[in-house]
Amino acid sequence: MRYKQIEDEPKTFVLIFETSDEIASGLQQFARGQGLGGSSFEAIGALSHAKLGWFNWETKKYDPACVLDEQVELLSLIGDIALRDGEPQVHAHVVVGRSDGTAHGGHLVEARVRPTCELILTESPSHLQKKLDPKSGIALIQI
Amino acid sequence: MGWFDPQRKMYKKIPINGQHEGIGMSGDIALYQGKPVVHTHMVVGSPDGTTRAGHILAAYVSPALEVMVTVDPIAMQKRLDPAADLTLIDPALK
Repeated sequence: MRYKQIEDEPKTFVLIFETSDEIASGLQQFARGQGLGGSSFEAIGALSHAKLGWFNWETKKYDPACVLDEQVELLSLIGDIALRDGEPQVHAHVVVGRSDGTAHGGHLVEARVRPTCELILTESPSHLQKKLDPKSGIALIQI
Repeated sequence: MGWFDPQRKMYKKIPINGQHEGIGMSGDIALYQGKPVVHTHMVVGSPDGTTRAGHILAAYVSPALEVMVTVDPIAMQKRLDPAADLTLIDPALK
């Protein structure tokens, strides 16, 4: 993954992922490296493999909604980064398109890029903090 | 719509006809050899609520499409990637 900062206020980056880069872990690593407190991002591109999750309210865990081990268009990736116990946590949703034009979507678990993913990330003016929500069992943004 | 075939290094054409809702369109514009190159993806909704989607090759509007464009302070530059045979953004290019 390569990046360039294109704006100071608000801090804005272009991130370019390349073939075989994994987006979820790459973003997490970038957020930690840059010390990002809260950010939002969006991207388009294409993937060779995608694992999407669906939040199961009964088990309070993400079920594997869809595992696509094939080339797909990354139609939209929208997400945010917030801090949980001081660590940046990436939360993103994905829609992908298959070769027949059908679309699948879900929570980003894993996305392997081929050949590119063009992402723009903007840091939020105030730090977004996540707090454990007892009802869902997951950390949600508190404002 | 198009789907990028990494083996053939071309977009496979996916024809979608008839009235559809334009549900989501995202994209960016970068420069290749000084000229803007538009890269856009779209999800459209069929009358039964199912969706179809892909890389936009051509999309005809009926009756309207509302697009917001934000211009970044620095333009991104593309270079030809021989592995994919596509122009891809290279953040190191000026």
